[in-house]
Amino acid sequence: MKKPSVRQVIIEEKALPFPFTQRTLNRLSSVPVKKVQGPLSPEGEPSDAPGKETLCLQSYKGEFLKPCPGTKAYICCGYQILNVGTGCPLDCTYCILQSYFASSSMRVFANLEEGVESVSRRIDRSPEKVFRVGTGEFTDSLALEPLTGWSDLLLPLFSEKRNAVLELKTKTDHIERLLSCSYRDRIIVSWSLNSPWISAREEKGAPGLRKRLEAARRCQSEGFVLGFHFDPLIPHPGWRDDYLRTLDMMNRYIEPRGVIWVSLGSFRFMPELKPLIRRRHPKTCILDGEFVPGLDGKMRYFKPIRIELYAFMREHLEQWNRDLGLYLCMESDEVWEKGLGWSPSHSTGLASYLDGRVKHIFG
Amino acid sequence: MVQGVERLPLEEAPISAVSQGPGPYAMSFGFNLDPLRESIRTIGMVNPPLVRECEPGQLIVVAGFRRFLALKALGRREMACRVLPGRTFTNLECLLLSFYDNLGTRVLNDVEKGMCLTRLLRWVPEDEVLREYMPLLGLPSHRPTLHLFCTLDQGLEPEIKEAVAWGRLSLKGLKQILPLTRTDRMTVFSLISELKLNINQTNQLIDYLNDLSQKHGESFEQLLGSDSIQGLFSDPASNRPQKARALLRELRSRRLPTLVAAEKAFGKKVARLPLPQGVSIKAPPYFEGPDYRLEILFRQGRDLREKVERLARMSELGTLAEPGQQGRS
Repeated sequence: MKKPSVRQVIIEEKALPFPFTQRTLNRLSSVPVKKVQGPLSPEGEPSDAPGKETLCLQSYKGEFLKPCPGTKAYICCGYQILNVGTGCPLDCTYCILQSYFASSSMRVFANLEEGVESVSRRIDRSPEKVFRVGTGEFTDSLALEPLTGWSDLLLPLFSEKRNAVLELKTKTDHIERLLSCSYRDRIIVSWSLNSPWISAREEKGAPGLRKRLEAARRCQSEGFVLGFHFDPLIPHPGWRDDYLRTLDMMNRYIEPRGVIWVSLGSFRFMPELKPLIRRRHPKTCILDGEFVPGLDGKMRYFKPIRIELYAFMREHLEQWNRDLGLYLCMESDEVWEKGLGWSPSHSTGLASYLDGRVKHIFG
Repeated sequence: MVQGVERLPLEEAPISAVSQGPGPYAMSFGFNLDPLRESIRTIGMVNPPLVRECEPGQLIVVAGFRRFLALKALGRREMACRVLPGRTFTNLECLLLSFYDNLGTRVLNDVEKGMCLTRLLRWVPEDEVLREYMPLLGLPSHRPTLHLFCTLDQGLEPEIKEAVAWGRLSLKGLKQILPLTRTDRMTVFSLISELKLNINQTNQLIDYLNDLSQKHGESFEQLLGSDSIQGLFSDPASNRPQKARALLRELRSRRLPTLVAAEKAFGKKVARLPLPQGVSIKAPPYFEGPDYRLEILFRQGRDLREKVERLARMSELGTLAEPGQQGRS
């Protein structure tokens, strides 16, 4: 996969003094740079694809570490989001970021070094707690890696923690920088997977599944622990055979014993996202399913459809290996029971289960 | 700003010399000329129109286009009017004369507001229109609203324009149908008009049609032309609201077949239960939540106890279950 294409860099004045800014600019020496006073405003920026070629460097004023915004209505994994930036150069039709952020430009936080110091102190203050931290919620963890070099900063920090793991969740194959780092402990590299059909049609700009799995295999052979996320699962014509193709590829490329967890989630979206998807991706099939309003206000597949998806995936993933740390993302107790055959009952139960996986793999 | 227009002398101008179209200043649309014609016939023209000479001997109405039309309809050959001298007034000044004249004398309908705004935008920067003129029209200074109103004046089918002007189609409804292709828009508009759908029904209709059209690659016309839907329209036993509800039900069952099948199956199961009178069982909305609802209407504690005891003895209650997993292709 090529380096993300950036045609313009916009730097907020306050972001200028940070070494991260200079390092990023050095990697983008031929790209025009615009400096702006005051905070960057999303107003007036287009929300269509061209915005994705603008990289904004800004000083982030919010909390760098935040719990995943789950809801009480469904069982949440208790993940912590490390907010390194927002936006993504990929253009997946189902991406929730389309409605989360007013601007489609990619924003990275130049004061991340300061931010991770406070995150580190926070982790150290609660040694009894396991922090499962990820950067892949508001951006792809590795898509901007060639420009930002985030891993140089984050891997050493998390590798030395005894009560935290860092999960880098991606659809890309930008792993060179990771592989060149010597840190492996407490780092999980995860790939978002789908059926080949969905991947080819709906994950614009992302490498195909084979490339992702080749990258995963390289990471695994170089000592990284792996995770996989089938989220969003999307029923489509021939979906069973198509998802089996992906599982077959996983079987060929990946050693299951090195996998910490595999998550399953079905496509869900805030109702406001629907017109945006229709406008930006008129040929998409992702809205074809039977969606009903969920207890959290998001549209989700009618429950029996979700259960069928999960039960199918579970059956075949467990044929590959029974110890994959399989879990559901934002589902009810009932769907857990019917889809996976067991349930952690509540969010605390799921968090304990996943913390247990961390201890099992990393000790 | 233009002042002293009222001091211009009254003149008699031949009706034939006045341009017949509304021109760049008038902002009248979707009106009933009859009351004005009757007024002029009875008491004459109290407030004469304002015109401007655009070419030698050729006049254009600046303010009072409807009065001009009423005179014409009455078969008059001459019109009392005030004529703005040659090039003394700019186009913008003429437009503002018309704008403020209308603002002070009547309530503009939405299409007319759109006409005002598009005309203003010819000579006034957009930011100024947003800031100064939209509040005068009772509209928020909001760019998407400005663009929506401009669409009302330009590039919209006359039937739809008229429906908006007369309040038969709400702006919310219009917003829903604007992104559709012309053919689909007219198909939906005909349905909305024919069945008198409210805004929620309109939204639902468009949502179902959009989804089904996208999924099956059929146009709105094809979807609505199916035998089952045409059968609903031609059912002589149904009135308009019943037809509207039946149409939405039919589209819903095509859009959400598994859900609708589960609802039907659950409804049948409940209907087969020998529930005591005044007892009802409801599934959670869309079967999403875990909790079902049992409602018991009773008059006295004894009545309640009897019903609860009967329910407790009903072995059939144990057969009530979640919708099963259904096969998917």
